[in-house]
This record gives sequence, C-alpha cells and structure tokens, in this order.
Amino acid sequence: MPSPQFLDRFATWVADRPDTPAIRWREATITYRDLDALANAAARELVSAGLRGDDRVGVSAGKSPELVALLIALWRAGHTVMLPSHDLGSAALRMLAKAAGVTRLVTPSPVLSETTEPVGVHHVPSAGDSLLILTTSGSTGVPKLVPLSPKGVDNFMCWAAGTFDIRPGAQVLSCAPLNFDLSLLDVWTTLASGATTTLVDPRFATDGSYLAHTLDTEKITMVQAVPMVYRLLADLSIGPIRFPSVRHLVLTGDATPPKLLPELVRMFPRARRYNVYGCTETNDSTMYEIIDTTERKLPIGSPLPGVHTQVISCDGDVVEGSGSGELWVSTPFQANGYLDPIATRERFVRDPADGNTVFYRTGDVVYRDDDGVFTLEGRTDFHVKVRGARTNMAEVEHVIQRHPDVREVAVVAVPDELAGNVLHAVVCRREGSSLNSLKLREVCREGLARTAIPTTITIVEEALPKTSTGKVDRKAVLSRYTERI
Amino acid sequence: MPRSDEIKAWIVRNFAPDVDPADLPDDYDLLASGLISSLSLVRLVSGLAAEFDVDIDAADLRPEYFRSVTSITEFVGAALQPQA
Repeated sequence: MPSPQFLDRFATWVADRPDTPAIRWREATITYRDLDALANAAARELVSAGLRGDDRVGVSAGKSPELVALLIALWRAGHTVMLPSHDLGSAALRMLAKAAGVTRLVTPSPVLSETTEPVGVHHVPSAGDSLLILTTSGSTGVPKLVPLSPKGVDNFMCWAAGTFDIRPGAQVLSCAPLNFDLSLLDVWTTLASGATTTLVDPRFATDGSYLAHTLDTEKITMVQAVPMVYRLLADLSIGPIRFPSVRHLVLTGDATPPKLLPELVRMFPRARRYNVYGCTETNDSTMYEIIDTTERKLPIGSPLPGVHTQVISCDGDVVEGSGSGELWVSTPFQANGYLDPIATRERFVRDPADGNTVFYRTGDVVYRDDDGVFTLEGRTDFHVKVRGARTNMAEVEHVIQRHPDVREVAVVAVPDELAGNVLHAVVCRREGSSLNSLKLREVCREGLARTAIPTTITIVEEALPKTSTGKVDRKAVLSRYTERI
Repeated sequence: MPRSDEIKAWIVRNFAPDVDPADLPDDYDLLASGLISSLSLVRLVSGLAAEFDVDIDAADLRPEYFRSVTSITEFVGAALQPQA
C-alpha cells in the first residue's frame, strides 16, 4: 500500500509487534523488525548509490523480501516508483522508463546493482502525490502508466482488510507478481494490517504441488489468485488436496472455467468464495459471492460499497435497468488518470449528469440483470487474458510487424482451460526472406512481456485472409491456421 | 549421452516446426523467447524423458535446467549417468 498512511501503519506494527512474522519466504520468517531493518539497509544503499531526493525511480525485479524492503525504503524517502513487469524485454523497459520520466533504475540488495541513468529523459510527467506507478497493457505498443492515488489505495486497504479479515494472525498467500495490482491486497494490505504474507516463489508459481504444499504448511487463511492457480491445485491427486485453513478465497483476473466450481468446495470446505472484478486503473469494482456449486458462467457481481457504475450502449446511451453495453465504473480506489493526459482523456470521463463523478471506461462489455448483477460478455477491443495478464493482441501484432521481413501478421487467441487463452501468431513473410519463428521470438522478447509472446508462431508465404473491408480476417485466420496446431 | 543436435532436432520438431535445427543456436534462450513457457515446461520435460529414456524427478523441474540446448544437453546427460 504505497501511501504515507501505509508507512505509518507499518511503523506501528514494527514498534508494537516487532516479532510478528511479516513475510514467509522459502520457509524462512522475516518479522516486522527484520523487514524494517532490511528497509533501513536498502535506504543506506540508496544513499551511497547517489540517489537524489527528486529522482523518479524504476524498479524491475522478481518478487522477494528484498524487493518489498526496497520499495518501502524508496517510499519513505518520498520517491515515486515505477514498477513494471519483471520479464519485460529490455527495449520495452527503456521505452517505458523514458515515458514515465524515470531518472534512475535500481534493483534490490544484496547488491544494489547498476543504478543507471537512462539516456534521453527530458521531461518528467507529473504523477501528483502518487508513490507507485503500475503499468497496464496499452493499444499503441507501449503499456499505459497508472500512477496510483494514495487516497485510493488507503480506501482500498480499509475495504479489503475489513472484508477478508486481514489482521494480526491472518496468513495471506501472495501468488501474483509484485507489479500486479493484486499485490495491493496480498502484500501491502497485509503488511499494513499486522498480518503475514507468504510470497509464492516465482520459480514455482505454476507448480501445483508446490502451491498445495505452501497452502497446507503455512495454514493460509486468505487466497486471491487467477483461476489458473485453482485449476493447478484441482488437478493434483497426491499430497495435500484439502485446505480447511482457508477462510476467504478470491477468484479474479479471468473467467473461471465452470468445471472448477464444484472443485473449489471440495478443496476449500470452510472458505467463503468470491469472484472479484477490477482493473489496474480502478482496482476492485464488483464482487460476487459464490454460494452454490453449480457449473455455470460466474457473474462478476454487484458494485462494491462506494462504487458507481454505468452501462453504455454501443450508441453511447445510458442503459437503464437490465441490458448490455460497455461498463463504466467510478470507485473510491481509482487512479486520477494515466501519466499521459491524452490517454487519460480517452478513458477517464466526467459524468455529464453531475459534472463531478469521474468514470473509467473499462472496455469490457457486460450484461446487467434485473437485480443489478453484472456478467462479463467480452471486450470492445483486442484484449484477452493470458495466464491472468491482460494482453493486447494489437500490441503483439504491432511489435511483430516492426520486423522488416514481416509483410502481414495476425495474432489470435484460443481459449484454454489452464492458461485462459493461448496466443497464436500467423506471419506472412516477405518473398525470398529467410525469416523464421526464432528471429521473431527475439523481437518479441525485446518488446513484450513474457505472457504476451505467442505460444506458436506460424510462418506462411501466402497473403492472410481478408474481410470485405480489406482488414485481416482473424476468424478466418483462426480456422485456417490454428486447427492444425 | 545424447548429442546436442539430437536435442535440437527434437525441440524444433515439437516447438518450432518452421525452423531448421541447425539454425537453433546452442545458447538460444528458450524461456525468455517464449518458445517454452512455464506451462509447456511440463510437456517439454515429459517429452524429453520419453524420447531419451531418462527418469526426471518432479523435484528437478527447475526452469533454469531447460533454458537452452546446452543446459538441456547437460541435464539429460547427467540424468543418464548410472546412479552410484
């Protein structure tokens, strides 16, 4: 929870309950006192590395207690921190750092290596009082930068701690990488609440038996994860397969496969189960408590307390009562906009009715029933979820298209039980070129997050199928090329 | 001990059918390039185990062992050594 209030509350726990475990990591315990000491050590390293008070800092690192401590140290010193995906390619990272006005890139201890000054930062866009800038998939080839508002994150911390009983004694599992907004709950709300967060080792994040062992031995009380994690657990037949310590279970980030629903009750017999919907820009917006075991498409539920919603038809009209349209939300947790004011104007709109409420256009198409319960129907653009990460297929195409030997490219998504979606790229190469999938993977590696790199890249010589308006026909691409994969 | 070109041919056949095995460098990063994802790692390992007739313990499922043709060749070679 990157806010002055978070730092105050964390300091209170360090003073009042220094021996309480703050983090469990690879079977070691880091108490609140230990974490405070790590943060102090990181602060000293930052000073000796010559970090200036007005530096805007980029941190790209895998999840670890040292990274948590480094972020606390940076916030204490008043730095605004950009935290992009750790597996972002180096070219994409440099581009993002430049767009964010990042003047220093740092990595956590034990060796605070390579504090480098990226070249060409001329302009540091205002981030207001934000201490943390997260990234989210954009449509122009560069992820959008979301400076979180401290007031928004304080509101979120208050709601999440109360709803999921996050307080001293709670054991919260942290599955997601630290740059995902899910960590606002798993890590930062936990540390603001005197509870313990168990960090899933990123090396084993998709290893079902490791996850089961962790849930069991750490006596986890609260889990929030994408459906894939529960699928990995449900597929196990040996080792721990029931987790009665779990009291609150949140599914989020993706549609849940209907077959998984009865399995959740089997695995988590004492947990309240919720489907939660939100995005980085607004944080959690709607929630649905699952009280049965019926195999069906889950609703995303009703607006959380303080959340306002509107459903806007494709003609731009407000839908009253039941009906379908794009979901607009206004939450007590939301960011004030993107770092880029032009992007902000596109997605954050003021309600013409009261001129006051700022709605975020989610780009998600929903159906609202007579009781005000929402169900997700799809996207208005080219976004899909891949292993829980929102991925813009247009952006993947854009990156592949940059290779000079690419004549045309289409990226399509095929639904997958485990990954949510699997991406396939079909590339028509220039005549006579020797372009192959390995060369294109190098391009993807430089410019995309790991989850956005297509699983298969098929090279063809013939032109891709087109619609009557001359655009690449993704449906035809899907049926012509992906059926033989 | 399997030769690296056998490993290459097998990887290309299963994960990059458009590629000539000779064009796959020994140190090509299979993980960072997305050729092998955390989810397809299991398929890679079970396929390797069947193809080269080795026992691979679930505890050995460390991604770093499978990062490149070189590391896979070393790993499979070590797994084929007679156990003491």
